Amino acid sequence: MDDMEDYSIYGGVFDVANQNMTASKHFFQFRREEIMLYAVGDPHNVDLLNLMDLDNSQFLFMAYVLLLQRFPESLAYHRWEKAGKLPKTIFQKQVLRTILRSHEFSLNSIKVYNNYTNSCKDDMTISGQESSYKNLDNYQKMWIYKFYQRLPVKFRLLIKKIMGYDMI
Amino acid sequence: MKVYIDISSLMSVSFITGIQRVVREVIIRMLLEKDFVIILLNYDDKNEVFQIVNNEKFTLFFRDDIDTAIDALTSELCLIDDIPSGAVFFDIDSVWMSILKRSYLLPKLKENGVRIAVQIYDIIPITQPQYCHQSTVFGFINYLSSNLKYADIIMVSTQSTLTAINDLTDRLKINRINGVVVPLGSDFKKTDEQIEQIDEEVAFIAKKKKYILMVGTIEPRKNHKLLLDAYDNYLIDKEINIIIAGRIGWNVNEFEKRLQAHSKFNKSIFHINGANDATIDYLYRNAFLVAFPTYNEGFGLPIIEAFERGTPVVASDIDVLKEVGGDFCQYFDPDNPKALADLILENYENEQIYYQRKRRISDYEPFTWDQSTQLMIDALNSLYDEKRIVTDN
Repeated sequence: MDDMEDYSIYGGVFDVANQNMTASKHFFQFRREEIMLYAVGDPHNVDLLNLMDLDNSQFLFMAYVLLLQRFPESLAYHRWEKAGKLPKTIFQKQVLRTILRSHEFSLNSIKVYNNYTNSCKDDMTISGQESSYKNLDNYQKMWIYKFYQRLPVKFRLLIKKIMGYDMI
Repeated sequence: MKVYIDISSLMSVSFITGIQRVVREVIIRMLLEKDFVIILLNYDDKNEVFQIVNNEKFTLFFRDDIDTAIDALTSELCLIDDIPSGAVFFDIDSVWMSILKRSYLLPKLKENGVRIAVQIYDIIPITQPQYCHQSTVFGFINYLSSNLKYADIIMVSTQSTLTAINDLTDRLKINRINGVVVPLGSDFKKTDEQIEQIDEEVAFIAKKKKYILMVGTIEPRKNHKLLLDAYDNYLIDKEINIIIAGRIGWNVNEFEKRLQAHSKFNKSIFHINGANDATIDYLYRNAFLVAFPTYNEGFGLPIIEAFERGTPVVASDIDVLKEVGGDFCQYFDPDNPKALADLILENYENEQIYYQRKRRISDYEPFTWDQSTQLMIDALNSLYDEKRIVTDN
């Protein structure tokens, strides 16, 4: 991770927001550390080593935020709560495996590096689904998209299957 | 001067309200500025590159409703590093939820010699985070912190917001950033009025009785609850209706249930969802009063929109609304339903005073989008003014 000193302002702004939140008798589901972690690095290329030392609940939160670009929904919290007491390494491996194999992850363009939970060296870098559609330039994509939108649903599904699910 | 503007959020939404309206109105006018070369950018996160938007087609769609937003996209691409030294990057859109987080983008731009300008609408996610979705607060902390660290100039729509930002920088013991107050315009796009039809069903409801109007997304911060409390406790036996115009937003399940279960729902209390601009315009023009019991705002556009149509406003006694509404508004404590009801009844029971207030509103001179845009252009030009004072510390 880069020098955290450069990111102190992110922590400072969080502290102010957190004080105001607490004063209103509400609580954030994230902490200062998550704000600082989020401030670091390229959003498209996530270095998993930065998450390795987090506790299980922090890890779950950051894995969702960085890899799926959203907060975990309450169902996900509930689902992982039981596993939350597992040793860190096992918990992290299970969460990452689930997220990285998910359809949702396959739709985005995020690449992960240093997947320390994966024993196979070849899989140390994983990215969202590559498809033939992704290789087209933007101009071609726009025309295909406009044409696609006018098609009946069954043709759209067929095209999705052929061109890749990240088309929409 | 080359000015790069990321409009990805505007390009991706299917509705125009609040910030989208500001972005649309300002850019349409900035594109006419001869001294500026405006490059509109739409971020393609799959390919990690900006797509350049065709300026003429942007205006055709957003001003004249011709074609679609996607028709304005070109095949021309722009990487972050393509934005040249000496250019200005102007963040005016609601970008805090963008995958291209500003803690990544802004230092890169700064390193390349690009100057950074930002329009900050409010800092409510920091000052009153309980009224915002937590994911918004999370993204906003990144957005605001990055701008406090890297922006060369901050534009805000009220002095109250600038004061809040300065208070924050003082608290963080960092330098204040050069800040400029740019009040927002409120003149509606003329084509809206020409093209759109007033919803007849809504017009029918509006004609039934005098009504108190509330316009805006239903969310806890807007404090719709207070108007219902005032109605239930003090106004229920009066010949007054309540019309709430706005989509259902975040965290208002309880209020929504209360509204729909109310014995007067769809009799004296109405919820209008998805009204077009012409219908909102009609509702404003014919309202007895506009009520604005909000806990906080970046600007308080409903006040101006009501004044433009000659309708008196009763609003929360908070700094930002007092700055915008001045002595044309009447103010009440947003935690006191009786205070709101008292003001409504004062107008309801005393026609002479009510019409005096209405007449006085005709003296109100609202800011126009032309004026707002000119102030923003001046602020951007100031980045190149050698005599400029960089900070006001």
